[in-house]
Amino acid sequence: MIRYLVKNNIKLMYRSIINILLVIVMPLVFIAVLSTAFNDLMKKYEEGSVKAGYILEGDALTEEFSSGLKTAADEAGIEFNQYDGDSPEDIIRNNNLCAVVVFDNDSYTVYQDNDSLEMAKIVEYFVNAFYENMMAYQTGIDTGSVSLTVEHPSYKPSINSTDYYGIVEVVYILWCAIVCGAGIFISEKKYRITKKYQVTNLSAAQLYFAKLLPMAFTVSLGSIITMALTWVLYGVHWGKPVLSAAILILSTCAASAFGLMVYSIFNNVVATIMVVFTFVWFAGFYGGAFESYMFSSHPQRLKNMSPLYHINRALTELSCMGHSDYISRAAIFCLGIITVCSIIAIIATSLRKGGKA
Amino acid sequence: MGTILKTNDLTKKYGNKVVVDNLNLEIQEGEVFGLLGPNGAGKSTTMNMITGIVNPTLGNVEFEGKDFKKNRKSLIDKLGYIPQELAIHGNLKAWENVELFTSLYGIKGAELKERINESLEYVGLLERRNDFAKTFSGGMKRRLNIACAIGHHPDLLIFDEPTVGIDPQSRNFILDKIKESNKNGSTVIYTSHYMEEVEAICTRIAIMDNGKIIATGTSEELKKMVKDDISTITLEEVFLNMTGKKLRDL
Repeated sequence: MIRYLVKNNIKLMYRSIINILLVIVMPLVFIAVLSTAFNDLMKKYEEGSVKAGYILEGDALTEEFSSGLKTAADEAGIEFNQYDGDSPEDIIRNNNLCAVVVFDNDSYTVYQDNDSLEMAKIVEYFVNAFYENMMAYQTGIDTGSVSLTVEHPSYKPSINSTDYYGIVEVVYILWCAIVCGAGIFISEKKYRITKKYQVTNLSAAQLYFAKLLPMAFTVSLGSIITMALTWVLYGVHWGKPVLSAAILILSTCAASAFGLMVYSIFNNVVATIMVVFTFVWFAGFYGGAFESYMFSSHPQRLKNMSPLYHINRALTELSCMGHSDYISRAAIFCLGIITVCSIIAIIATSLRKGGKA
Repeated sequence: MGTILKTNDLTKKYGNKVVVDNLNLEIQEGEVFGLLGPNGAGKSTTMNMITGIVNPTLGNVEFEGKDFKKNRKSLIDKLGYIPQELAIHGNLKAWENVELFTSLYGIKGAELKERINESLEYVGLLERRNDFAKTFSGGMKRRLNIACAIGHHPDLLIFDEPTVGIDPQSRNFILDKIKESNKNGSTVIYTSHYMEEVEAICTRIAIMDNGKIIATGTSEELKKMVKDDISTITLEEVFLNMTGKKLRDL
């Protein structure tokens, strides 16, 4: 029954140039601006640009192990050079390093640059793994090889600003999906089309899905086009494109359901847009849409409450690591939002006087 | 011919204000029933209760002898509602608008295509089927509004001031089409401020004021209620005599 309603609502959405501008052009502008603005900050964080030093004190390591250390560091994408003479602090400052490791007889100390703590953590992680391996070797335990592969801590993917903002801005804009439906809502109210729907057998659920499906479809398609454009124009890496696209589509469904729920409650387009945009701004603020979530000092609890955090993290980690533990979390968040918002929206539509079909 | 629609003590209150007060109407199958009344008389609220858009505070509506609210699902397809507002999407083409509204009554596929063409032809817009509604004149939009409500072949057509703001040619066309629909078997309820229109097409007229029906009858019967020599009085004079000359929109 709603097939033709869905079809015509899709046509109405695609005939509004604002929708196309919003979903496709806006992220491209945001990406250009933000990736340039945060380029220097995130450049320090790019994989392969981790520069660290080490100092050997006493009989800490033989030449053989020193060589093994450098080889393992190279393989892990860490530029690890030996220094001596100056204090660790001076070496960090003079050579623009993120950390310096001082190896003593049976211990080591990691000196970290406060401005590069994220990269220093990578070095610390690497040295810890190498040191344990080395100790095991010295005590006769066969470790197989001293060559280590550093697994970067999962919460700190190495990603450049273009990839990062190329991904998170598409997510941010798609969460403003309600704007795509605004034209229909205004038209329906202005011309009392909802009144005509009431002289049919359309149920509240059918009316809801007749809007949700076109919105989700329109914004999803726009987001996929934007995704492709970011790849072509900016060279944004989307990791596993099919999986990333699936996450984007699921996010779009959640964003559409959320926007429709707010509209069902307020029954006012302006109020809906204000509420949705405010929510999306806060969700983006804590979810890494402006300041990257790796560098932000927001409480983790607030980050976890933001659906955008889970989606952004899943997508950015897919981009730079090829996998992410956050994919399932993002999916659960989205499915939860779709379910809860749909139920509330249908109930609100049924209860609303004059909205009852 | 039996009664197609009946209202039993239909009442609507908004707070303490009684908008429709114990309304008892009987519409016979095959007639064109006109509902006249000044602004705020309760015509639109009555139409809204008849179509189920608004729930009555008291009373009920019977359609084809059945309680409309209880049997809404099976009866709603027999109603065609043409609202006062131009309930069409400007960014949809004429045929798409008709498709959208006709499909809501469960019509699909080849039958739907046939009904779209039939409805557009009926209102004289078949040649403009591929034009966007926003490019239409006021009269064409009114005609499209009608096309959107007749595609499912309703038994009862409810016109709520369908000729507001259009040129005489379009008005004449619409009135002719209403008469044609009636000849083809549809029962019509027609509300308007234009007395000559009501007089021209309605077989029976009710004058409503302050939520109540104050007179019902044919044009001649209503005239006789005011003056014996009906040739010297117009329906408008009857209306003003019954409802008073005081402005209602103060």
